[in-house]
Amino acid sequence: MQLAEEVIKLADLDDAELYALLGEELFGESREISPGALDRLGERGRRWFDNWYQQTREAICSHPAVIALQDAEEATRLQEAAALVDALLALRTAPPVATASAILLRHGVQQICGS
Amino acid sequence: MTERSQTEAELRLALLALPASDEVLRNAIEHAVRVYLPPDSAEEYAAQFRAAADDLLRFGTMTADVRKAWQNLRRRIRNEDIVTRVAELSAVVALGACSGGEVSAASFTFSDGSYLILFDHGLATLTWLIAELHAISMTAPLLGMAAPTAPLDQQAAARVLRLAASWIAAGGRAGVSPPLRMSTEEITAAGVIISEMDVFIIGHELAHILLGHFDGNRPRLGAVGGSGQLIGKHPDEEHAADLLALTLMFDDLLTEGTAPSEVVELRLTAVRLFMAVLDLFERSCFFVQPASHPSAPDRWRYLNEHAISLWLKDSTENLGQNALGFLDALDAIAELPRAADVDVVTALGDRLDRQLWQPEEWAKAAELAQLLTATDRQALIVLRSWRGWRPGTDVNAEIQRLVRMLAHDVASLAIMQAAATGARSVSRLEAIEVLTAAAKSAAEDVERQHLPASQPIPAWAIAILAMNAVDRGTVSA
Repeated sequence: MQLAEEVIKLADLDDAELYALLGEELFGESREISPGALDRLGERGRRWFDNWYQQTREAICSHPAVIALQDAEEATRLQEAAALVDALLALRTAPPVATASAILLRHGVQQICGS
Repeated sequence: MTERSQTEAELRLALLALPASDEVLRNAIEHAVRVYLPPDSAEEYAAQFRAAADDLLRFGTMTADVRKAWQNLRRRIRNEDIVTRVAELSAVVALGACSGGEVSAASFTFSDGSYLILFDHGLATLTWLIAELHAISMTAPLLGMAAPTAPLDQQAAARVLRLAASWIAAGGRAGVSPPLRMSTEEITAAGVIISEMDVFIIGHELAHILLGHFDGNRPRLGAVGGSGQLIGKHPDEEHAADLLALTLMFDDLLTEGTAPSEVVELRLTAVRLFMAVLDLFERSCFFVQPASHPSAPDRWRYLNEHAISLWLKDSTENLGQNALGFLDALDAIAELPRAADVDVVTALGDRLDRQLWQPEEWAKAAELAQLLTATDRQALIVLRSWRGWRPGTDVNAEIQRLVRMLAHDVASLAIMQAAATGARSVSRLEAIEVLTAAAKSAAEDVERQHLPASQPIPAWAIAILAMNAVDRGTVSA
């Protein structure tokens, strides 16, 4: 449950902060030929996440914990976070789980997996 | 045989740089064939074109160019220790390209000991543009290739380049540039220049790895703000990486001890032009040069002092008339207003691929860049001619007071401090938005006290004066 609680805390950050954090977790330290005009960490994090999400959305939404959550009449934020963490941990190519779950949690399971 | 598992670098690259769809690529290639491959093209050129198109379809990005640059650089390295080290690295370095539109090439390190060297399409767009402009404005041969019979005026070429930088300064995507039509000979000339630029760029990123710049745990300055970026202060490392990159790029010639002057000219021209385009980009985009990198003119001076002038009798002579002319043209237009740069479409004539040219958008970008990069003189003219000043007002003193008031505004002070201390990179666009809002607020009392004017006081000009003062270091925020 600790990881799910961390996800809830992270989900309080705004999108820009979350993508910057994800970019740092994924790409760490870099050396660039020139200074960045944009928030490079955030941009890289966002681009990576968007591609990853497109490829894994189906796997996330078909995870039993996420399906159970969708079937439930009401779910707490903690349950939603826990289901997302479970789904991401089960993936073969998992991203930084807490941050990616937090980004997904901000959208909400219903929106991500709804038809 | 067991399949090798992917390195972390390869896994990251796979999702960062998804190839463009086949449909997008085929449309782009079809357009390029119509414009750049006339039916009477030489067979050799047509074969090169088809090979490039096949590479593009195979990788879906410009990854093939990055790999070629890596191979070209490796072929030039003679130092045995470095040859061995680079051979070892080849197994763990992933090379790739992505279409993020940023002016960027970067290296990354991962916990499994793998590295990623990534080129961004935005940087390639700018380097390709300067290579194209150089090729069509040449007045003397380059590496035995004849100059165009009707070369583009070099000042017009410089203004096209500045227009592309304006596009980025105005917040546009870097992977867009004025689309040019060129002859096969001109494309070949531009091709050899950009190949050399790519060798230098990949050499710079390789040098960071070879020099151990990823080793150890340097303290970072920390994230600043919600959308801030982590910036380390590594200006010395940038100089060192440039120096090693240039040394590796010239290692074959240095080892042999002699070099054809045309080859030296080509390689130096490529590095010098790369620094010129970087300078234009940095001056257009940043409020203050970010502390992470020395300015491009400093980088070139460093290379000249620590390498080129030691290797060659006169490095300026070795640049050749074409590059020197282009650099002079860039200097000559420095004081000319950017808003008029869109007029270069007239000078470009049929060279501009008008099917891909969007006049209104480029005009907007040029106008915005004019505001972003105005000089003190231009800002003062606008402010002094404001019709709202009450007769007898000491206008200069009043302008100075307004500029000083910006330092009392929390948001503008924060952005000026961030830029002046190098805590994070601040774009000119971001700075002028914040400072103009503060200047509008500061000018409210002025507008109340003075004559009713048909136009509000030009707050952007007050912001420009403050920005330029911080940039010069005459005001410490």
